[in-house]
Formats: sequence, structure tokens, C-alpha cells
Amino acid sequence: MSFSFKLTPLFTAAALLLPSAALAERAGLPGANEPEARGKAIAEVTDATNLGFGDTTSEMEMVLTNANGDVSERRLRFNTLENKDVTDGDWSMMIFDEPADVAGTAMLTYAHILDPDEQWMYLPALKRVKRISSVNKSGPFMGSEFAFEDFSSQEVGKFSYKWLRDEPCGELTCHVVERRPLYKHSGYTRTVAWTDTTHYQSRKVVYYDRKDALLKTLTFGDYQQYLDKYWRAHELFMENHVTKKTTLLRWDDYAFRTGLTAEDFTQNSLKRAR
Amino acid sequence: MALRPAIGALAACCMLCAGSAIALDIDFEGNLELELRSFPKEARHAEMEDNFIALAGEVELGLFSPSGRHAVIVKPFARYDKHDHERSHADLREAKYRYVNGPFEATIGADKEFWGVTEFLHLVDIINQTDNVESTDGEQKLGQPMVKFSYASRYGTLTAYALPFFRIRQYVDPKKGRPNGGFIVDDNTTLFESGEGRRTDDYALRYQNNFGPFDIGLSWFDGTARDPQLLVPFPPEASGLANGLPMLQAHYAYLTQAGLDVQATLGPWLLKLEATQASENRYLPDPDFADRPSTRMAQEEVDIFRATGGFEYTFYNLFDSGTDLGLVAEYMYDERKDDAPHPFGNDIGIGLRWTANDPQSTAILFGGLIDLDTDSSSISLEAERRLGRSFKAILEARFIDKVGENDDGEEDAFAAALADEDSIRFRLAYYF
Repeated sequence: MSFSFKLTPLFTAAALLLPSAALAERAGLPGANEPEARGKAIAEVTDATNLGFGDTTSEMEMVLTNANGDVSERRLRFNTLENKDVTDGDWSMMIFDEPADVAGTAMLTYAHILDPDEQWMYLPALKRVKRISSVNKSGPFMGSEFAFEDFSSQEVGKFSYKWLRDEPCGELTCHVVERRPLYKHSGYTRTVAWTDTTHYQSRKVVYYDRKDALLKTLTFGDYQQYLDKYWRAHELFMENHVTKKTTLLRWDDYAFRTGLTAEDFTQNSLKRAR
Repeated sequence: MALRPAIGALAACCMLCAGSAIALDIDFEGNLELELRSFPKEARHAEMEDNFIALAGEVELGLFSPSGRHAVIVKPFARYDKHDHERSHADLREAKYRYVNGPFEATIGADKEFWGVTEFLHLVDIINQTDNVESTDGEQKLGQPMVKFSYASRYGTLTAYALPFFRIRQYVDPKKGRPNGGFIVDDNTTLFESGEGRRTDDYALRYQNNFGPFDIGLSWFDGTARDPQLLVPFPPEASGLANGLPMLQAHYAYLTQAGLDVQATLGPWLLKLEATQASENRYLPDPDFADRPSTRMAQEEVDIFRATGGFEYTFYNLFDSGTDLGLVAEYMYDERKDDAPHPFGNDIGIGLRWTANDPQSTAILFGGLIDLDTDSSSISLEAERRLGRSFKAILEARFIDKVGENDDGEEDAFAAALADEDSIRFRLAYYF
């Protein structure tokens, strides 16, 4: 008790020494004396920056590099439809283009907050749509250093939060917030995320495995703004500290409000995806 | 002089055509494969081959209007088998025009449709004829000519099919081909119950929806059975023999079939059920031909209930290795049990699927089938791995593990017929 009593004024003094950071942060955030509320509020601000995006289409290139420097590549496309119901998750379609032997394979996801996501996979060789289990959170996505859960939409309600500190991150200042997954089957005990106080976008995430050991680090680069509002990182670099493998995601051809509707996210449209 | 405007109009038309051609999105992809098959056990007849080499290719050309509403897709497939000329075959897997407008979709042409949820046996799946010479697992299908209308709404998806042409099942080369099930089928003697033969008025309906964890499909088929009844021709001297094996005649009956397929997806559990209730005319067993049905016997209308179901459970990220291990167990039932004209009267299938989730997408599948009436069992192993960017190697082995007997001491005819037809198949495919 006495310890925290001493710490609080110390922190206030530190904050005063960083007036730019204090000024840049979004007004109305809970203070440092409420780290859980402050952490969640930061996530809500980030979430709100994406509100009303409608729908997006984008392309992604994935470069996998192992410890020996061997490289393999994948190409995918993503279509996303914002769910107007903010208490539920977005709808998305993922279409595989490369490697050529999996071209045409597609995955349809109805994301939910804490209920399991609904997922269907289309296998073009058999022309079969198969409902698949969405339990697979921690497994590798297409042999990469990204897990399935790193790709699923990061709704605020999927985590509990604890603000740790604010600190400089490059030219910006970042909130550093610890997140703990509330959904089942996660491969992480916690992640620590750096969110800038200017645009409220993720800059870096550090992942700790089920034994709370450092596992991997994700850095976000090449942010571009669309429709004067929506930020998208175009380079995501994941580094696995245990296996020394890395995965680079390069996003391209982002288009917003392309006119996608719920009809573009059905099993019939999954079979037509190309 | 008078020609000039016509030429001008023609040129303008060509430019328009070229202009619209440029506006089309074009997809072109495909694969080429080298296939080696080996049958290590001695064949029924000296003329039959033990080792087969084949080349196969499939390309897909798609033309799409910019809006995506109009599409023309052509997907020819061909195989050349050096030793089995019945396996040397070509097929239009797809050749169709498709129109999409919001929830509505229409298709005219050859296409493939898959129905169902189970892994070992596909009971409700009936639209396409099996490409029987391509592989023994029944997963490869011939393109089916159709007119299809589909409407997807929040109340589910309703699809109607008109199927104006029927395609017969092909069998391996009678003299050299393998696997050989102990008989030969002569295409030239094919019988159809429908007076119109291959020109049919078949139709099918399917309703599909999902309710939370449940995916449900209801289907109806009215037309020519895809599965023929194999008959001893009468008089028998007309039948002839090849390699000393009986020549059978395929009879395609008129069939009606109602189907149900359900999958419940509960965490890592997938619970599956498929059931069909069918009605068709079948020739009765002929006591003069060891109770095989023959063409001189009367036909009888039979109602047939079949079902298959079980579970699939996957251990994801096994021991944090990044690999997955999936377990499949399914039971197969036919109310005719031992008398069913196929081996899945009262059987259990067990499958193990290991996926490495590595950059080369390595996967291994083990499958075992056990007949609960006779204890006969068969085993299959499949392994695949991507090589470099564009190649894939696939190895399959299938063998009969045990030929058992039923309670009356009768040998399992299906297992016995294939006991010497164990096979190893290797494919190296190039994708582009």
C-alpha cells in the first residue's frame, strides 16, 4: 500500500517531463491510476478509428524465411465486410492464389466476440465446402510464423487489458498495453502491444507463449491512410525468437467501400471465389 | 464502293469485340502430372500389366465480366495411360456459363456439384458420375451437363438442377487394366431403364442452411441411378469372356432418392451424418449364376435405406509442435447388409490425418476399413508434400489386409475380388 502511494506521485512527475506525450494522447482516457480501464480505453480508441469502414478488398504477399535463409512465398486476397452490429464480429473471405497447388482454396469466416467463429473452407479440387472447426487458434497459418489468431479480427471484447506505461516509439509516443486473450485455445498467456498516441495504430506486438516465455515480435510498417480516416499497415514483420524464422506480410491494392454486401459472403459466393 | 461501309462496320464491330475482350478478366491455370502405378501381387491373367505409366493434365480457363456477373469457365482434363487404353480418356470437368445477380445464380453447361459432409463414403452426393478409371476412392467425377438455379437467402440456399444427359461409368481396360475386380463390363451392352437412354429428364433439388453449430442439407433426386446394377447377360454365350473373366452388363435403373446430411461443429468435434432413402427397380438374383442377377430375371422395386455417420476430432498444434493430428471414425450402414451390391453394408472406417503445417504443406493420411460382418479389412496410406514452388509429390498405397468370412462361413466376395489388386501410386504434379 505504502509502496504504490509513493509510486503514484513519482509517475505524475515523470508524465510532466513528457508534455508532448501527455498532450498528444486522446482526451478523456482514464489515468495511470486505473491501468485496466486505461488499457481497455486505448483499445476502444483504436477500434473506433476503424468504425464505418464498410468493406475492404486487399491483396497480400507472404514471405516465409527459415533460420537457414530459405524463402517461400504465398499470395492471398482478403474481402472484409464490417458488421453493423458492433456486438458481433466482421465477415471475411480469404482466397489463396499461391502456391499454385492451393489456388482457389478459400475460407469464409463469420467472426464473433467470445463465441467461436463460424468458418467454412472451400476445396476446389473436390468442389466441396466444408464447415471447419474454429478452435485452431494457435496453429501456424499456411506454415508461417503467424498463428490463426493473429489473423482473426481483434475485437476489443476478446481480451482483458492492462496499461503498463507510455514511452517514445520512433518519432511517436506509444501506449504500452498488456493484453490477455479471453477466448479459449489461445497460444499466448499475454501479448504486449505498442499503440501510438497520434493515430492510435499498432506499432509493435510482443507475444508470450503459454509458459509466459518470449515467443515472437510483430512490427507494423508503411502505414497509409484511406478515405482520410482509415489507417492500414502495409508491412507486417513477424520474428519468431525461438525458431529464428520470420514472416513478412506485404499488403497491396487496398480498396474501401467497394460495394460488397452480405450476399458476397455466402457458401455460394465461397464456391465462386477466385 | 458499296462494300466500304460494310467493311467499316465490320472493323468497328471487331474493335468493339476487341474492346470488350480486353475488359474481360481472364484466369488461366492448371497442372500436369506424371503417374506411376504398380501392382506388386501377381495378376489374375498373364496379359494384365503390373506397372503402369501415365501422363495427365487439367487446365482451367475462366472469362469474367468486370462486374463478376457473367462468367464462362472451361476446364478440360485428359489422361494418357501407356498400358490401359480405357484410362486414356478426356473429359470436360466444367464447361459452363454462369450468371450471378445478388442472391441468384444460374449455370448452364457441364459442372461438378458436391453434396455431403462425411469422409469415407459419400451417400447423398449424386449429381456427377464417378470417374471410375481415374482413382479407386471415388472422389474423381465426370462433368455433368446441367441447368442450375440457386437462390441464397437468410432462410438458406435452395438449388434446382435439370440434368438432361446421363453419363455412364467407365471401367479399366478388360485385358490389361488394373485393379480388376474379377469381371469385365462391356460399354456396348449398357442397358437403361429410361426409354430415352442417355438423354434424360433427370432433376434434383437441394436445400442447405446453417443454424449456429449445425449445417443441414436436404436433397431430392429423380432420374437415372449413377451406380449401375451389374448383370450376367442372357443367353450367356452372347456374353463372351475376356481373360477368362465374366463379362457383365451394366444396367442403369430409374432411381428416386431423398437425402439428409447434417454436421454439428462443436469446438474441435465435427459430428456428421448422411442418410438416404432410395427406391429403384433391381433385377433379382439368378440361381443358375451363383445368385448373381441376370437379364432374364424379373425386376423388383426395392426401397433402400443407407446411412453413414461419425466424428472428426482434431488435435490442433499438437504439443505446441505446430502440427495437427486429426482423427476420423465413421460407420457405414445399408439395410441390405451382406446382400448390398457394394462393400459398405456394415463397416467402420478409421482415419488419421497428420498435417505438418510446414512451408511444404506435408501431410500424411492413414485410412482403415473394417467390415463388421466378415472382419475383412483394407488399409490405405497417402502422403503428399510440395517440392519447391510449383511441384507436388503424392504417394498412395492401398491394400487388402484381410479377406474374412461371414457367420455362415462365406468368404467376403468384395475383399476376395481385390485381394491381389494391392497398389502403389506415385504422382509428381506441376502446377501453373
